[in-house]
Amino acid sequence: MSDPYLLLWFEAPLQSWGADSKFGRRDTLKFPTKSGVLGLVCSALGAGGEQSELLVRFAPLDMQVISYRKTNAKQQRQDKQPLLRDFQTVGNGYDDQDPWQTLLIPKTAEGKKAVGGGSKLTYRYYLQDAVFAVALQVPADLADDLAQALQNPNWDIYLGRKNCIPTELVFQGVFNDLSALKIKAAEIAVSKKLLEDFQVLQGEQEGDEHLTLNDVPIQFGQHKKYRDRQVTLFYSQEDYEGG
Amino acid sequence: MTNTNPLKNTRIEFHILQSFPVTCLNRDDVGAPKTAIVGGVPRARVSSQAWKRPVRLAMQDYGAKLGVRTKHIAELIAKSCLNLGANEEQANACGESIASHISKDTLLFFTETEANAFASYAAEKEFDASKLKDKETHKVGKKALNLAVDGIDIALFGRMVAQAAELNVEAACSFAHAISTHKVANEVEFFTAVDDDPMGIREDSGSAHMGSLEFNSATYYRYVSLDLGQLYQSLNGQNMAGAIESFVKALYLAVPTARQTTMAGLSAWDYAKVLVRKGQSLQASFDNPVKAKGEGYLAPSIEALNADLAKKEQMAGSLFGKQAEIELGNVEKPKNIDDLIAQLQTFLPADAE
Repeated sequence: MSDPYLLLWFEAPLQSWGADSKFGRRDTLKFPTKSGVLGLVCSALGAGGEQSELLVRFAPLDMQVISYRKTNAKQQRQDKQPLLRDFQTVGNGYDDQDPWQTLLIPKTAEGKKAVGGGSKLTYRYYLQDAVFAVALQVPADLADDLAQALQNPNWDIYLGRKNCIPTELVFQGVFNDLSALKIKAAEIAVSKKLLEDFQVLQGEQEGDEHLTLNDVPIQFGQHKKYRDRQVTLFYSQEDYEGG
Repeated sequence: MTNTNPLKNTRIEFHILQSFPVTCLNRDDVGAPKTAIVGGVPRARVSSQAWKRPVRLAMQDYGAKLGVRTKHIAELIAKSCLNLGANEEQANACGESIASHISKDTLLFFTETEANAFASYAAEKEFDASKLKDKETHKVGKKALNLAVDGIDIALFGRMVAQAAELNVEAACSFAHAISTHKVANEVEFFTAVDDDPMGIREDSGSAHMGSLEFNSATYYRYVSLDLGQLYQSLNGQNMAGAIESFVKALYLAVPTARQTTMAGLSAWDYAKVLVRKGQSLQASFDNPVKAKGEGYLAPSIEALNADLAKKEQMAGSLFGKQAEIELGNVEKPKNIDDLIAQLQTFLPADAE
């Protein structure tokens, strides 16, 4: 028997799926990354640390994403919302005479005090109003455990950042066949009055947009390692015509 | 601690509605109140980090004590030795000796409890530094390290020490961004400032400065969850009741400090539905913006929150895992914050208080 798929449903006011952010600017892609989804799975399992053995089993498996657009009262699709840029300063307003608070002030690379106090400006990007169905292929022998864990997670699960708490149950079923999964996803979308926006399929195929993502985790923990993955985006017909 | 965590996968979810008059609780990089688009309409927003910090700092006012991470542990131990009656020379020698056993010029997360424990150990040896053995020191240290006594905020909010992963603590609480339940447009306050003209020089009277600042007014939905299993693990099951008390009190009163001097927007919760649950955490969506209909936003927001949570509970069935539901701000069944804390504390295992 081939490896089954889990249907995961990602819905929240804010989501954030970073792929290659460094330093003070934390970006998000417009759809969930494989590293983000597997991070969520590890969280549900309560699996901390490197998890190389687990991750290596997921690395060759498929993951597909369907992105939906919300509709307004007249059943018309809403405009796509721009990314939310959340601005934050870190490390200001601490008392440098207090031994604990001193530690919260950013230091230079040499560990010295920075000129002018050292508070940092950071930018975090979020998707607003986004809804995704994710088809995650999982090793057959793990499917039951994963289904259990996602429904009763060991650690909290969240959509890319800890403050992105889902507004819908994430786990929506195990499917042996992808077309059955897509029927179920379409049913949920209809019940929520959502319209398909685009799909993200793994591999390079005849489609609308090709991306290479460095988002296949090989090792989590202190020293994370990732492998590349090609994906192809397919825009839904309606959007295509509208440009 | 035993191997089984009696609170694993049990969390307290706070669904809070809180109305603010004219405020600018959280500013973006141009000084305007932060916003988000939810359900296709603009909303007022306060980022999670902006609300976590005042809560963390306020916890100190309600009995939570912070730890320190420092290179100066020798001095801290010496100070404790002095308190226990050592003379200065003995205290310094014991401090140096013990510090050398547990740290090699690196930062150490350290608490007053530990300093006192080491000092008592030194006192047992009559403050004779040559009698202090490193193995015994380690035993004393291991026994004394205890977030429950003076590191509760670290257990709650977590910390990441890039250089020493073993010192990392996973946060037990998570905050969502607070988002208004209704459509909000920021407003611009135009203001002028008048010169007092102390020298009587000016012939015309009028403003000497003009400026503008943005503000809004909103009823926020705040979702905060406290993972009791994680807290139990980080605190070794100790002082859970105290942690919950200081956290809930701080959560109730602490408000972001931005523009409080000009706008003084301080409000506590208007309404809260507190759930003790197992299963996946779930926040309410308020995807459909609440309308005031001439009666303000609070009443329809309470209605919408309860409808949303009831629907989620009904649809999730057994997965909802509800253990308890406590309501604060219900006029017919009034309860206060102390009732809430007391009721939450009943969920703790007998040995965790």
